[in-house]
Formats: sequence, C-alpha cells, structure tokens
Amino acid sequence: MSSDYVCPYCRLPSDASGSTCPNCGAPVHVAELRDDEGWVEQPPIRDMARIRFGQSQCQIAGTYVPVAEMSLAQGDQVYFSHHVLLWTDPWTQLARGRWPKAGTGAKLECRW
Amino acid sequence: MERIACSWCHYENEPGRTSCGTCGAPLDVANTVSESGWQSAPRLREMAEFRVGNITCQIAGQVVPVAEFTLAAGDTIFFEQHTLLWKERTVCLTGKNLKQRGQRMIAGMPHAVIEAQGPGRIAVTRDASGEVVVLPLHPEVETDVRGHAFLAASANVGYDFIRIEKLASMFHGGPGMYLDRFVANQAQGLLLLHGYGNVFQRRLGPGEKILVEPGGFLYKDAPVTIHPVPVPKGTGFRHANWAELIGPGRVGIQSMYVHRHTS
Repeated sequence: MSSDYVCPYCRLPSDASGSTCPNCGAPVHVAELRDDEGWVEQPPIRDMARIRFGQSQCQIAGTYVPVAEMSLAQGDQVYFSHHVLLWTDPWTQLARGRWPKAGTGAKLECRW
Repeated sequence: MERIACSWCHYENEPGRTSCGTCGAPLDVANTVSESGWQSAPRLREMAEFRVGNITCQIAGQVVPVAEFTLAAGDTIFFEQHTLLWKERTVCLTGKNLKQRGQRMIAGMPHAVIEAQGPGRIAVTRDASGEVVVLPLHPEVETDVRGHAFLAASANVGYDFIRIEKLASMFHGGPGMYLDRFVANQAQGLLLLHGYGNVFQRRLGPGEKILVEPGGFLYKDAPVTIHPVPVPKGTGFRHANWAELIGPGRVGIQSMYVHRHTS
C-alpha cells in the first residue's frame, strides 16, 4: 500500500495503485468536485468495487439500486435492518440481537 | 476470424460486432461478475439492435427503459395491455384471453394479453425504473418468471403459470407467488422481462442451494426448484419464508421490490 496516498473521502492511507479505495470503495484519483459553499460531491462507488473490513470483504454491485455483497470470514459479523436482506447462503447464521446479525464464514447480500 | 461468444446468451456472433445480435449485450466490455458468481444483466447500449427471427428489437432509455419492436409482415409479439406505449398504424392489435382466466383474475394476474402483428413498429414499457432483461429462449426450454415482470414475447413463446404456496415478500405478505411459465415452441423465441432496480443472474450447479428473499426473486430455469423455507425463529422475522432455490440452472434476482396489492 503506498503510504503517500490518503483517500479524500475516508481519510485513511490507501492504495493508489488500484481503481478504488479498499477502505471505503471511493474511486482513486478522481478530481474532487466542491461547490462554492464547500459541499463535496461523493463520487459513485464503481460497480463491483471491493471494500475490506477485518478479515471480510464487501462488494458493491449494481448502479441503479446497488447491492452490498458480504463475504464474512470465520467469526466476523455484520448487522443490518431486517428489510434490507436480499439473499444468503443456506449456512449463513442469522440471529436476532438488538439488530439481526450474520456471521461465521457466511456470504450474504443486502440492499437499500 | 473467430466468432465472438456472448457471455449472456452464448450466441456465437460474427467477428467485428460490438453488441450481440440475439440479445443486444455489449460484446466489447468486461463481464461484471461478483465474487459469489452473480452476473450483472448486460447494460444494453442505447439503441443497440438485436434480432430473433424477423423481429428486430431496440431498448431505448436508461432509467425507465422502452422496448421498441420492428415487425415484419405476419410477425407477432404479445404483451400485457397496460405496457403499450405507441405503435404505427400498420400494426394490427388483437386481444387474447389466457387459459384459466378466472383464476388469474382472482390472483390479480393479467388475464388477457394483446397480440401485435406486423408490418410496422410498436413500443412497450412497464413505466417503472429498472432494467429490461433479454432472454432468448431455446426451443422446449421452460423459464419461470415472477408475476408482473413480463414485458413482451414473440408469438412462438407459450405462456402458462404455476403457483408457489407460502411465497411472498417477507414484509408485505400475500397468498403466495404466481410464476409465469414461458416456453418456445420449435424455433428460438424472444422473452423480455422488466426487473426493478438492478438485475443479477447466477447459474446454480446440480443440488446447489441458495436462499433468496421472495421479493428479490425474478426468474429461473424450470429445472431449478423453488420451495418456501421458514426463516428460523429467533431472527426477528415473523411467519416469513425464504425462497429456497436448488439447481441446476439459472436464477435471476432484482435488487428492488415493488409490492402490488391484489384485490
């Protein structure tokens, strides 16, 4: 990971050699669009961009109604609201906490 | 020169083409497939033309797509009444009642379709945002589609339906899910669907299973079985069912669900 590139959106040291930031999925080296009031336009996350978290990964698919596809490593968990669930592998473990959780080497996909 | 295989419909195109002649999918862009094997439905280029038999079709518009057909004399397509957008005067329209009309009416399904016969041009749309999915149908291969997703088909495609008990959106409920069943007779047929949001397709191997939220299910090959499977207790879902799909064959999902109330 090159140490001199900092993603302007998540502000973490990032990898400038890829096309998207592995921490937040923002495109790399896209000109920042800032209006007179100081609002910065968030660039759309590219189709199939990958985002790492812990030992797991999230992939964003689709451009109209994007889907977040999670590949969860053993022991990793995510939580989400009930209505966003789209599909899961049959071995995905879902449990109700204060929020529904999924984990343990699972793949699942959520939509907003 | 080598022919170019379409990654969506597998038609072998002649060299030099930039879009598939049978389904319109771009041939010169990389296939987008997620890590889990979901392939994005091809984003058809504005006005890309494709052809099945003597019927030519173009998809126009990106947000609320329109399917425009050019029909040769005697060629026929059919579609639901409310999807008609415009037609040329030479195109002849006739209504056709479907089998089990009463049962379909009770279920809130369309009980009649319009047949349009060429020569001339005609356009249909579902008046909704999303993607048009082009599925060239090989003869005798059945495809099952969720209700209200059908956009248009060529006349040689048979249209029937089946009901899957206990399958409805996890959050809106309902009496079950009706699937339209399409099969092309003798020659290759053309089937167009409308998927809300983005559409993804995955090919399941023999015995391979996947659980899909029923509102996200869009279509499947007939050999893929679909069953309601209760969501385990303790997850916060009440009386909800997954759609369990078991291969072999293709499964299509949509990333957005629009609920339709039945009378």
